[in-house]
Amino acid sequence: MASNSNSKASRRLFLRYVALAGGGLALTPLAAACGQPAATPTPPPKPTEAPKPAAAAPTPTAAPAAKPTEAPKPTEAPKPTAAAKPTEAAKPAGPKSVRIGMSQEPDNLAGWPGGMYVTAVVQNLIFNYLVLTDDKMNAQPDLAEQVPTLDNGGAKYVGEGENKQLQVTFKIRKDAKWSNGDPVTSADVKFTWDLMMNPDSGASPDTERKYEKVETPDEKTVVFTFFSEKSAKAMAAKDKENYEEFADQKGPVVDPLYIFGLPNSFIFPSKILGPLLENQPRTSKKVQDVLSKSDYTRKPIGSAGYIVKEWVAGTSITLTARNDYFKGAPKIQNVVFSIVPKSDTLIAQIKAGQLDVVTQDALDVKDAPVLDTLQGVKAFYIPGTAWEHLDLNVDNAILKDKSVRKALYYATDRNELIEKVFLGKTKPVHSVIMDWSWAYNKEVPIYGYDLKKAEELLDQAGWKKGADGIRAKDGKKLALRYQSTDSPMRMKVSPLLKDQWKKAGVDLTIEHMPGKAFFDKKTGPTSARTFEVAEYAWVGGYDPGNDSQYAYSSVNIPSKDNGYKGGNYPGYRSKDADKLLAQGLATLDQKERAKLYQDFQKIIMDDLPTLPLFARPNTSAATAKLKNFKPPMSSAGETWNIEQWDLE
Amino acid sequence: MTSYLVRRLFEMTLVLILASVLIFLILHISPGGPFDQIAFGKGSRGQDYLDNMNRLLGLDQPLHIRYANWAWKIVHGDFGESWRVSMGRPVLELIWSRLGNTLILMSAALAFALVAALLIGIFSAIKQYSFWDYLVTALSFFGLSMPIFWFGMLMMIVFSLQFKEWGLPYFPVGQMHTVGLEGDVLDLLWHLVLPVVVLGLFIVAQWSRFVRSSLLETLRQDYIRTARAKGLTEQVVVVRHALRNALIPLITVVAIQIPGLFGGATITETIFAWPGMGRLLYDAVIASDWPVAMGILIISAVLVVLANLLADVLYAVVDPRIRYT
Repeated sequence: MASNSNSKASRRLFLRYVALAGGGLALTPLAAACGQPAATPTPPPKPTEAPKPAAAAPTPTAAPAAKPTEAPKPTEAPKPTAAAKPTEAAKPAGPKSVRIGMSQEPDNLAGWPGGMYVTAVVQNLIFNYLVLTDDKMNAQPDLAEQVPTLDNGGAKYVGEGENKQLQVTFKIRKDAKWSNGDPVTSADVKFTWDLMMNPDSGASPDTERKYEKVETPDEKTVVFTFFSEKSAKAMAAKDKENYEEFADQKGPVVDPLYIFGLPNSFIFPSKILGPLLENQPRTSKKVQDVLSKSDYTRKPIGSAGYIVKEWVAGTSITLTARNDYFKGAPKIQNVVFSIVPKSDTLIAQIKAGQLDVVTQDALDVKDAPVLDTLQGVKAFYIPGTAWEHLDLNVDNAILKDKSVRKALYYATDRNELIEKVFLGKTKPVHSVIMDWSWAYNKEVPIYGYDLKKAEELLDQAGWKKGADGIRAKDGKKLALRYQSTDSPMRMKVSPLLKDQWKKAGVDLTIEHMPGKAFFDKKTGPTSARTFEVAEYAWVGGYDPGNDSQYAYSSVNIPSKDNGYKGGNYPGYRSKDADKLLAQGLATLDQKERAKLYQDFQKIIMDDLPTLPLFARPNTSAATAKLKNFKPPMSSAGETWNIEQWDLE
Repeated sequence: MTSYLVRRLFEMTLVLILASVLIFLILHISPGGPFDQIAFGKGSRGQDYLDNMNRLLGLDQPLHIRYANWAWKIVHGDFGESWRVSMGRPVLELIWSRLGNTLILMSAALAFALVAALLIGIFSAIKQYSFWDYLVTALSFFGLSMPIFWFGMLMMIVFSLQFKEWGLPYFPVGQMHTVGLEGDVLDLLWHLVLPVVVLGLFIVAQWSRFVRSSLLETLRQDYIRTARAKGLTEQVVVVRHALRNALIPLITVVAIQIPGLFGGATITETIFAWPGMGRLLYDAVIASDWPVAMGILIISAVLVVLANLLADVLYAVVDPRIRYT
C-alpha cells in the first residue's frame, strides 16, 4: 500500500474526484426540484408540438450530468395555473381535469363490448348505446328518448297467426349529434345492425340476429321487427348453419332484451365508417381490418361527451369534453387515462395525489388494508355481477342423492370464506338469480352454515363416520374431487372448503388447472362432464331468461352427441324447471315472467344441482373530491356516468 | 483477425437459430392465448369468431409450419402485427416508438453507473482495507442482492410519498412525463432520477467491485513501482498508468451491458411505469401478444450476440497483447 508520503496526494486525488462527482450529482436533484411543477392537478393539455421522446433527448448520455444539451422546448413552462386562463369569469379555477389510472392499455377503441375491460372504460366517454343499464342494473334511455316496452306502447305485436311479429320502435333524441356535428340518425342504427350481422365483424349479435328487418321510416325513428313463426322457419331453411333453432319455431320470435334494441353494441356513425366499408357493412370483407387496424380505432368519432385528443402509446390517453353533448356539457373538461402496469404504483400515485381514480382492473380486495387507510381517498367494494358457485355433477353416484347435496351446502361456511378470501368485502348469494334482479325470489330458502344439520342429513342418508373421521357407506368412502381454475382467489377458497367439509366427514381432493383447460369445450371437466365438484363463476345479466335456460335446462346438457353445446354442466334434469324456463322465454310480460322465475328458483334451490357461494367484489378507488362516482355492478366500467362527475 | 470474424459470424448464426426456436417454443407451448377472454363466452357466435381469428392469425397450423412462417418473415424484416397490446399495429413500429424512451433511461443509468462505479472502485482500491472500503463493499453487496422490484417500490415510497409528507422537494411516482408537459426536458429529468438511481445502483454494485479488483491487480505490477520510483505523483501514477490498463477488462463488462440499452430493464420500467421496451415485453407477455413478445426477444438475442462480438473485438483492439488467430 502507498506509504504516508503519498497519503496526502491520494487524499487530494480523492477529494478532487468527489468534488467533481458531487457537483455533477448535486445538480440533478436541484434541476429536479426546479423542474417540479407547482403542486396543482394536471395542467390543461395544450396542443403539444408532437415532442416524441426520441426527439426530445437526442444525446441521452448528457442527461445524468443534469445539463440539458438542448434548451428546454419553449412550450408550457411548469407553472400551469398562469396559463389556465378561465374563459368564464365565474369559475375560480381553470378547467377541471380527472386523471384515471388503469393497469392495461385499451387495444382498440372501436371494439365490441365484452372485450378488454379497460377498453370499455374509455369507450364510455366516446360512444352511446340506444338504451344502457345503470349502476343498479336498471334500463335507462341513452340515445333513445325512452325505453320501449309492451306496457308503454313502444313495442307491439303486428300481424296474425304465423305472421305475428314483435315490433319495437325507438325514437332517437333530436339533440343527439356526433362529435363532428352531424346529427345521429336512424341510418346510423341500421348501419350498426348491418355491421353486427357481418359474419367477419367479430360481434356477438345474440339478440340482434333475431330481427327480420330494421327499418328507418324517418331520420329519428328506428323500427326493429323480429321474425314471425313463418319467416323464422323460412330463415332456418335458407341458412341452416346459423338459424338451425328456428326450424321448429312456435309463435313469434321474441327476446326479453328487445328493450335495448342493440344490446350488444354501441351505435357507430354510418357516414364515417360506411365509406371505409364501401357502404356494404353487411358483406364487406374489409370489416376486420377497419374495426381493428384503421385510424378510427385510435381516434374514433362518437356521440358521447368526449373526444380523443391524444393517445401517447403505452402511457396515456387524453380526452376533452364536448360542449354540445346532448346530456349537457360535462363538468369535467379533461380526462386523462394513465396506463401503469403495477397496482402498487397506482396506489402510490393516488396516495400522492397524482391520480384521481383507479379502476377495478388494477385493484383487488387484498389491497383493502392499504386503500382503507388512504386519506382523502375513498375505496369502493361493489359486489359484482359475477358470482361464484360449486357445480355438483348430479350423475355422480354420491352426488345424485339430494340430501347429500343439501348437506354439503349446510357444511359450507360462506362467511368464513368471505372473511378470509375477500376480507369481508362482499356478501353471499342465495340463488341462481341475483338479488338485484327483478326476477329474484325474496323467499328463497337460505342455507346458512349449519354443521349439525349437515351431519344429520349425511347420517340419515346412510353415510356413517369412520374411525378416520371420513364417512363411508357400503364400503365406499365419501370422497369427492374438487376442480377449478388456477386463479389466485379460487386457490385460496379450495383449502378452506376442504377443511370445512372435512369437519362434516367429507374427503375432498383439490385440483386446479389453467382456465383454458378447465373450460375447453371437448376436454374440459365442465363441458365433458367428468367433474364431481367444480367451482367457477357465471355473470348475471339484465335478463335471467337466456342465462338460466343455458345453465339449467335439460336441453342444454353438453355431451358428445350434441356437440358439447350448452352450459348445464351439472346435468340437471327437472321437468318442472324446464317448463318454467321455456315459458319464461315465451312471454314478454315482466310480471308474469317474474312469477315464473320465482317458482323456478324455489325448485332449483331445493334440488341444489349447484351451490351458489358469493358475488365477486370489484374494487376501485377515487379521491373524496370526486362527486357522483358510482361504480356499477356490471363490467360496464366506472365511467358509465362520467358526464355526471364533478370535482370539488 | 478476418478468419476469426468469419468463424464467429458462423457461430452467431447458429446461436441465433437455436435462440429463435427456443423463443418460439416457449411462448407457444405455454397454456393460454390471446383469445382466452372470448373463448369462455357463451355467445353462439363466440366459437365461430374464434375459429375465424385463429385461421387469420395462422394459429390452426401445426407448430413447425408456424415456426417456419415466422422465421422466414423475420429474416425478411416482417415482424408481423400486434394482436392485443396495440391491435393491428406493426410490431417494428411499436418497438421503435418505445426505443427512444428506453434509450433515455438506460443511457442515463449506464452513465450514472459508470461514473459512480469508477469513483467508488478507484477509491476502494487506493484505500484498500480502510473503513471506507469495507463500507462500500458492504453496500455493494447489499445493492447486488436487493430485489429490484422491492427496492424500486421502497425508493418511490420514501422519495415520492414520504418526502411530500415531510415537506421536502419530492419526486413523481413513476411514469416519464407529467401529462401535458411532454416537451419539457426538466420535467423529464425530474421523472428520470428515481428509476436511474434504482437501476444504476444495481449496476454500480457489480462494476465497482470489478474496477476495484482490476485496479488492485494493476497497482501490484512492476511498472507501477517503476513509475512511483521515477518520482511521479500518486495521482499521475494512478490515472495515467494504472487506470488505463485496469479498465481494459471493464470494457468487456460494459460491452455486455449494451444490449440492455435496448432491452430495457423490464422490472424497473414496470414498477415506474416507464413506457419503454422492457415494459412492452411485460405487457405483451401478460396479454399473450406473441408477435410483439417474440419480436422483442429475437431483437434482444441479436443484440446480445453482436455485443459479445463487439466486446471481443474491442478487447483485441485495446490490448496489443491479444491477437486472434
